[in-house]
Order: sequence, then structure tokens, then C-alpha cells
Amino acid sequence: MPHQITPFFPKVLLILATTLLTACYSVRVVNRDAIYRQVTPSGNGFYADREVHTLDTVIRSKSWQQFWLQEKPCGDCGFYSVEYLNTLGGSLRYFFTIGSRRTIRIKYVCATK
Amino acid sequence: MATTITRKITEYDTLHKNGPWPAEYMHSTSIDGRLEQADFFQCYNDAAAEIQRLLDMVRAKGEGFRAIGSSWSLNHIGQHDTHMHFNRGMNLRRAISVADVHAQSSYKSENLFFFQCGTRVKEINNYLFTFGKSLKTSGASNGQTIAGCISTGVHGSAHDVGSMQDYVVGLNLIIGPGPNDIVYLEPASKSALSDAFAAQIRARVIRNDELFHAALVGLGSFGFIHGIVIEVEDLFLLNRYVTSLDRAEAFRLAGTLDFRNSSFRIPGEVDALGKPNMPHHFKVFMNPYRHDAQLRAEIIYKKPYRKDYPDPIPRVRKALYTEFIAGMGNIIGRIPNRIPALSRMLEGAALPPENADPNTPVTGTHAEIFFDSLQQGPAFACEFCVPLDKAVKAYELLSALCRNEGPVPGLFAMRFIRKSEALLGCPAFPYTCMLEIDGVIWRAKKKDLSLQAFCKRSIQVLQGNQIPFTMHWGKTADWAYPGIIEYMYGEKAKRWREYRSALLSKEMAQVFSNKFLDETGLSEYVDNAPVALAKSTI
Ligand SMILES: Cc1cc2nc3c(=O)[nH]c(=O)nc-3n(C[C@H](O)[C@H](O)[C@H](O)COP(=O)(O)OP(=O)(O)OC[C@H]3O[C@@H](n4cnc5c(N)ncnc54)[C@H](O)[C@@H]3O)c2cc1C
Repeated sequence: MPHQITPFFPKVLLILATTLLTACYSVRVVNRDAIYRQVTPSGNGFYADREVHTLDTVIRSKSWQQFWLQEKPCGDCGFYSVEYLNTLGGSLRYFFTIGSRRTIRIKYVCATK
Repeated sequence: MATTITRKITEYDTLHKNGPWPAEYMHSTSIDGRLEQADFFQCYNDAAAEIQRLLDMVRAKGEGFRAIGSSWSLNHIGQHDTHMHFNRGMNLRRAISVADVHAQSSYKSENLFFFQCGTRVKEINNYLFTFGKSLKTSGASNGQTIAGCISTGVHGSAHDVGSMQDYVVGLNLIIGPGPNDIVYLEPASKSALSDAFAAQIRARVIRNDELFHAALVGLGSFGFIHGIVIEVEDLFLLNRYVTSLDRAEAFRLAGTLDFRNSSFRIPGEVDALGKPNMPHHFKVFMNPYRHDAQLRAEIIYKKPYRKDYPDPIPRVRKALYTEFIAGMGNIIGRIPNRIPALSRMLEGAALPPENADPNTPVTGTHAEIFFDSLQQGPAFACEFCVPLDKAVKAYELLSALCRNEGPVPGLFAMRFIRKSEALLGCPAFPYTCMLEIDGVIWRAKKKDLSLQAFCKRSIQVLQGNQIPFTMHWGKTADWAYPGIIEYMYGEKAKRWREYRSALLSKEMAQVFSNKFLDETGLSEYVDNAPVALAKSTI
């Protein structure tokens, strides 16, 4: 007998999809006085001429409130910008680990002296 | 030691996607950080040696070499088919001391600063601020490099100051790989730095007014500009108003700059007799598809510096171009018929919003008012420099061109500046109106006017109506239009070629040429150029 999808499932999927999609967002903090490390232009948008580094990492939700970058990414120059992205993958992991793990993507641009 | 990273590439493009064009190698030299800490001159000379090494390599192969700054020019002036050099790692800076100044100089040492070519305007602003100093003028934002700026003649709308090259007082050029090929050039009539300073950068000195003025706006072709000495001034504040003014009066002002007798006045910006003060900066915006009775204008007055003013940046940022333009570009670009209607929306996105109270200014330093650009994505910008009394006529002609043969997704603006002493300076008239149209790059269908056709027709329309004009070297134009350089500069272009040929060997002139220079006919070498042209005149 073919498996019957009860009306309950589409609703759950819809709620899940909506929740996950709305959980995809990014927050970018830019240091307005800093000068960004430049590259020759390619692509479009904010990073077109900025030397951008991307860091994907999984962290335990407990350590979320204070997250340390392991190495000293910009030497003595500090950050020009830091962007935190909550991606679909990140939201899925969060969902399936019942909130214990979080994948985060960080994009940062270093400042120059 | 300075290090160069070389990448093999296939093409080069500008920040605003005006290309791409072919290119083979992108070199990028960075100064040695340890030397920088130890000794400025050692570090600087070490970088010079590295540039000479690259020049020698390129020369030996019979190829070309072109330096680029931030690639903010909206055309191929910075492109070379073979070797390109990205200057971002060359940003040394130094305050000039009393001992560095020429004995007969009229400059105050505290106002002179030396910058390596790749230093960006924002870096300069930040650095000068620590000395209580400011640039006299710059473009509307701050991402360009100092060498890139002077090479194309970047300007703002400070009509009493002029363009950025006009406060350059000395140039350090590398014109080849030999020991005699490092030159410190300044005008004979107004020396800035001493021979001892030149010796420290291992440069031979040339003091020659005309040669200096030829090299100032050098189009990337007068050798590698390694260092630039500029004159700055004490920090000042700017009161920036964005307001609307009557179209007829805006156009009268555009043709005369006669603010003192204007019916337009801002209550806080009048003299004791109630007469309007002369602004430091005036810019007026026009939508070619609308005949608005009121035009948006940006008017700025210069004030002495004081510390107690509110942070202007949040309001300044609102008043700049936004990323929205790039998004609009995608929509407009696909449906050209909708351009006039959509240009209204573009206006909303691109024009600075009127101040909530048009009589209350945003106050900030020069660096704060002309802050970071938010403009992104494919864009074009055409700019015609016309005499003041032809400004309105030129606008009428070009806006009619947009309406009759367009549509063209752009907005016009007029800025005003004093004549430049540079031989190929775009502001070639006693007072020049810089009539610009900025917009998004559109994809024209067969019957529509393309950007290329618009550029060509603009030249034809202005020429056909006997409007004298020049074009901004860093902007979008039909640079290959036959005879355009002679029309714009006549005898000056001839002299520029002669001075360039006198300074550079034939071999190095070829190294420092590119397609842009070939198209404009400026790469032509004058074999019999008198050597005296490249000698000191004192
Ligand atoms: C958002 C935006 C805003 C702008 N606003 C203004 C404005 O307000 N006013 C204005 O006048 N223009 C403006 N422009 C145009 C732009 O400022 C100029 O075209 C400027 O020349 C770009 O500087 P750059 O450092 O990017 O140089 P590039 O575009 O990279 O190069 C320009 C030229 O300089 C040469 N060059 C660079 N470094 C050297 C060197 N070391 N030695 C020899 N030649 C060199 C290059 O070969 C090239 O010929 C704007 C452009 C953009 C994208």
C-alpha cells in the first residue's frame, strides 16, 4: 500500500523551511576609520576589491558567547570588517544537533597600517 | 628587501567593470616592513630598486609596464596587455622637515608631506589628521591612490582650489632601470625640496616648470611615479547643506558662480550685510528626463576647525550612493525602455537626500564629508569639462541627446573648479564646469543607443555646437574618436608629447605606453625633441 503523506507533514516542512530560510542572515561590522587590505578588483559587491578571508567552523553552542579566533589573523593591524553569516547548512546543523552545535561562517578583511 | 608577487592573469578590469581587457601579469611590490621601521630612506630606495628591476626585465623583453592604483578609473587608462603593477604595497609616508626644504622655498615645511605612490586618499587623510592638517581638496570619496589621482586629474568641486594635482609640489619619477633614471622633478619657479633630500632618494634633480606641468597629469605614461610631495593646509571644517534651489537660479549660478548677488541664500551663511557668502563647493544635480522647477544641490562652506561638532559620519553615509544603484543597474540594464521612469527611482537612490532642515548643515572635516564610497557594481561616468559660460548650453545639448536618442540610465551633475596648471589638466578654462553623467551600465538592444554610441554622439553634439571641452581622463568616453585630443588640447598635446619624449628614452617611452595612449595618439614619440626640455631651467 503506498505510503500516505498526512497533511501534517507538508505543514511541518513548510514551517521548517521557513524557519531555516529566515535563519539565513549575515551581520557585517565595519571599522569606519580603518583602511582595508586591497586586491585588484574581481567580482561584485562589498568584497570586490578587498582581501577577504573566510572561516568556516563548527563550535559548541556553549562557547558561542565568546568565540576566539585561534591565530592572530591580521597581525598588528586589526580588522577592517568582520561579517558573521548564518547559513542554511549552519541552521540545519543547529536544528539536527538540537542546538548543541553551530556552524559559523566568518568573513573578515584586515586593515592596513 | 621589497618583494614582488607576480600573478599570471588573462584579463584586467576596473572596480566598476568597464572592461575587461587582456593582460598577462600582475605584479605587486610590497615594501620591507622591517626596513620601514629602521630607516625611511633605505626602505624607500629599496622599493625603488625593485621597481627598476621589474622595469629592466620588461624592457629587455620589449614589453610594457603600467602601474595601477585602486582601478577606480572608469576606462582602460590603467590597462596594459602585458605587465601591470598594483601599487597597494607601496604606501610609505613622511612629514617633510625644515632641513628637507629648499633654501629659497616659500613653502612652510609643516605643510609639506611626502607620500609613496600607492597611498590611498583615506590613508593620507588619517595620517594628516594626526598633524592637524588636511588635504585642500579631493574627489567625492577616498579610495583612490595619490598617484592614480594626479595621473588622471581628480577633482572635487572646490572652485577656489582646483584639482588634486594642483597642490603637488614635487614628483619622484622612475623613468628606467639605470642609476640616472630616478628623477626628482619640481617647478623652477617654486622649489620645494632641497638637493640633499633628492640625494637621499638617490634622485637627480630637475627644476623645470613646463616639464613638471607636463608630468603632473601624466596618464600613467610619464614614468613610474614613485613619490609625491604635496602641500596641505591646517584642518578646517566644512558645513555641508543639501537643499533645493530654483532651476533658473541654479543655472545662473552654474554659468557665473556669482553667489554674492544670488537670490539663493542660507540664513547662517551670509555676511554682516546679509549678502550670501561664497561657498567653498557647489554641486548641482539634474535628471535629464525631468524639467524640475527645483534642483537638488550640495553647497559647502569652509569654516575654521573646532573640536566640538557632532559626529557627521552617520549622516554623511546616508547621503552617498548606495548599493541599490548596482541592483537598479541590473533591472534598468535589461529593460531600456523603462529607463526614464526608472531614472526617477535612480534619483531617489543616487541623489543625496535633502537635509531634514535644509538650513542646518552637516559639519565635518574634509575627510569626513568626502568619506568612503558605497558605490558598487557596473557603472559608467562620463565627464565633460566646459567653460563656465557654456555649462548650461552643454547640459541642454547632452540632456536632449539622452531624451531624443536615448534612453540613458544616468543623472547629470555639475561641479566647478579653477583652471589647472597641468598641461593636460581637464580644467583647461579659467573656471571650468565639470559636467558629468553617472549611471549604470546598460545592455542596449539593437535599435537602442549603446553606451559607446552615447559617448561618440556626445562628442559630436558638443563639437557640432562649437562648445570647447575636454574630458576627464579617468572616465568613460570615446577615447579613440578621431582628432579628439587635438580638438581638446591642440598645441598643449603637442608640447606634452615633446616633453615626454625629451624625458624618456624611446625604449622606455614604449614601455610606459599602452593602448589608451596609442588610441589617443599621445604615445607618438618625438625623435627630435630638444634635450633641453628635460633639463633644469635654473
Ligand atoms: C566611486 C568613484 C568615485 C569617483 N569620484 C571622483 C571624483 O569625485 N572626482 C574625480 O575627478 N574622479 C572621480 N573618480 C574617478 C577616479 O577617481 C580617477 O579615475 C582616479 O584616477 C582613480 O585613481 P586610482 O588610484 O584608482 O588609479 P587607477 O584608476 O588605478 O589608475 C589611474 C591612472 O593612474 C596611473 N597610475 C597609477 N599609479 C601610478 C604610478 N605609480 N605611476 C604612474 N602612473 C600611475 C595608471 O596607470 C592610470 O593611468 C571616481 C571613481 C569612482 C570609482
